Amino acid sequence: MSDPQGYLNLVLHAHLPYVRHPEYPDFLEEDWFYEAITETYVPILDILERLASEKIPFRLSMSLTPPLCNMLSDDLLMTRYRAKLEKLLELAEKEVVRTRSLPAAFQETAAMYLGKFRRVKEIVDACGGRLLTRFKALQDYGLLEIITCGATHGYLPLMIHEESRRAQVRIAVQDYQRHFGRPPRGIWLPECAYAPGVDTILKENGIRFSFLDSHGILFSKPRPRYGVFAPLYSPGGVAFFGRDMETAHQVWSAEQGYPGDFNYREFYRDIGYDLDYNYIRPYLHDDGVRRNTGIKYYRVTGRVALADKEPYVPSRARATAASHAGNFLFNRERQVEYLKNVMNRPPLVTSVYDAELFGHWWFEGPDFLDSLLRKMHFDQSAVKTIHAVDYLQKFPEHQIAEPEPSSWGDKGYHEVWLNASNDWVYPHLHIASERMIHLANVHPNAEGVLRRYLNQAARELLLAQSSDWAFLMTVGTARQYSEKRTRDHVGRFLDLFHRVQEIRLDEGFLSHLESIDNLFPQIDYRAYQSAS
Amino acid sequence: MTSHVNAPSSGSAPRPVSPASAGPLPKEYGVTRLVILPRDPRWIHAYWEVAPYTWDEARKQFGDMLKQGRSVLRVHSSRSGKSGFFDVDVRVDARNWYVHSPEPDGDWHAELGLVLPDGRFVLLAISNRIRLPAGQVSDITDERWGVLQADWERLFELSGGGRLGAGSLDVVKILAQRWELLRNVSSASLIPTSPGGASWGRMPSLKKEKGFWLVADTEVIVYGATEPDASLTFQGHPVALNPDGTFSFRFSLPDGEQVFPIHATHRDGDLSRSIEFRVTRRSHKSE
Repeated sequence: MSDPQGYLNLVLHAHLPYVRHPEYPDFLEEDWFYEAITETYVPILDILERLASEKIPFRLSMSLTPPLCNMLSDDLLMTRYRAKLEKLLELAEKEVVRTRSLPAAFQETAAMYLGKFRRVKEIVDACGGRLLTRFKALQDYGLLEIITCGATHGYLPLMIHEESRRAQVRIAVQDYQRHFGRPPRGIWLPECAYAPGVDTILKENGIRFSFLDSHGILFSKPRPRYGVFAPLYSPGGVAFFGRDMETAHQVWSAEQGYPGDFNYREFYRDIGYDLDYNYIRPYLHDDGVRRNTGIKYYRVTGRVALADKEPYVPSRARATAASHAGNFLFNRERQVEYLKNVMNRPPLVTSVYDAELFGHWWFEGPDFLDSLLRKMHFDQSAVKTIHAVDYLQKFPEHQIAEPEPSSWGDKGYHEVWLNASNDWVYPHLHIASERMIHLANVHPNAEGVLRRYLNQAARELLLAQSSDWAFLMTVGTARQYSEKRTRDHVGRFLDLFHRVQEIRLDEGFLSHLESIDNLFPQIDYRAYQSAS
Repeated sequence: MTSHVNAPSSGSAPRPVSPASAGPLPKEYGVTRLVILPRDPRWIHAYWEVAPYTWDEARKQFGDMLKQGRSVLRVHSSRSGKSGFFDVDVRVDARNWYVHSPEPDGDWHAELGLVLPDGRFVLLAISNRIRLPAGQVSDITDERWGVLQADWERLFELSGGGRLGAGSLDVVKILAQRWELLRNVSSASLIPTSPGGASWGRMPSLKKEKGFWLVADTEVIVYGATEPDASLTFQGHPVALNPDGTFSFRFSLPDGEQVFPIHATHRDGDLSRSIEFRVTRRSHKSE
């Protein structure tokens, strides 16, 4: 087969903060995880597996962040998830009955939900709830490239200690090995946030490539010869791929983006609010407050009030997703055709998205992805999907430049994670970080209970560092919860620190923390030791 | 994770304090320190703490002169071999500050101290070092990777030309924008009407009248939950909770303003919470 005119490097970033509350029978924020499994992770897995079984070749990269991997392999959360899924199935079955007296569109939609949820259950049951093994299999086939992320999605440029940045990377790499049986080749920097020196840490941990927002490449020094359409090597020897804005806007733009199409499902019109309270009550949380259930019967319709939304028609929405996939591909063909005139090598278009966009918020997103990968194989030969490492192998020579310190957040730098709503966290995070490094240095070979204390201190610091908390404080959603998580983990860290300093190594207290903040079972606190 | 941040329609439910919650964090740590963080090409965030031992040390050295000192953040930059500094007046007890940088790029650090009337600088704390982003395309070109200016400009434009940000925050923004849109176009209730038998869609009792007729009425449901063993009053009257602590009342809603005060008291009688709703109905009939 002849070489294509250009390549598409498609990357989905799948991440959720570590939310696990065994101390409560029912916890609202755990829903983020349960909803994402049903609406995003399993549907994406399902389409990729179907493509694989039909021998349709594709190359896709996904970051599965360490907190997400730890939640997906946690028995308590997965048991709770499966119970939630049973309830959802029960509701979907009732809905099929309830909609019998309603117009056909409602019946078709109710049947669609039931079918989807049954399929999810089938997949989850078939692997005994161990979804990561299915993702791993796709990686082992060479179709999916799974990359890692900061251990808890910590925001590296706002860490002032080299040791803390290094620990985020090192612990992530060790955890990846546990799930996927080999070290990661690439990393998604938390929030695509880069600061000089981060590349050296990546390199020493065996990471070969990462991604930056477009200005992270465009503003690098010296000026990048190919814009974002070829990677750069940083001075530390890591390849950085820049995000293509054209494909970003096609999906993200509030006005022209695909997800706003009038045929697509309306996110805000949910039976959790629409139906009789007594009917819906068994599917709500313990507090009985009406919330989204995930079952929605209306389409975006247009700029109209929620009450004026029209019924969703699944077949029409699927057709729209297919036509958007066609449009996306058509635009890529034009894009590479144009680009190759100003480049003397095949252009590479790097498209990166939040994975949770597909399925949860853009309900038809997985259908779009499915259609796109099929069309790329069957309908044309100008553009091919490619993994970062394969591209680097094919085109080993790249310009060396220092990337611009940047992030993919609003305004492109660090303000989302550093502003009046959240700057109070940093004095605490930095003190905790300094003290953790101190502990690791003065106890180079701890054993027994002391070792467990130090490991737990590392877990608490890592959890406090999740960029999600500062993010949620900025956007004002779940603010109370994110402030509390910051206070709790820093507080627990300080408590552990004082007990170690005062040699009060109470095992009961330790066991309690180990049972609630239990991620990284194999963590080694020595990741925080200073380089000698 | 960002797309899971459901916009204003679903917030985080307040939860009781976790068993291992450590309460408020320390206001200070008894350590003298100054930290600077890059926010963007033009802004630096600084925070600091000056511990008593540092003040003692300074007083020992400078005595009463200290009181006449002007407290400043002295911000140093070094860029392409040129270095310099500027002072920003700050109150030491402000504890943090956003400093506007006259230029982007370069390496930065800062000192917190007092400028004495004789010009001497009393150093209280010195910061870490940071690099500020450039915020623009570099002037430096790479001979080995030469390109025609016109071609480069084209590539730059095609690369997005520095249009920034369509990342995490944007999902939330888009969701919020759509929610706002829905609010704006919906002059009536935000609560969606139902296609299939919502409680407020139930037919009211019919009263036959001569000729053509229409009857309509409204109902309101008040619901919630508290600790199952709490005592609850609704409009001043005690009511029984469901075994799981939930309660739900459905009322007809006549014209005028209705007040629904709800008051819950802990079984020990020492803690209580109140919520009150005021609901107004205005009917308009036309023949």
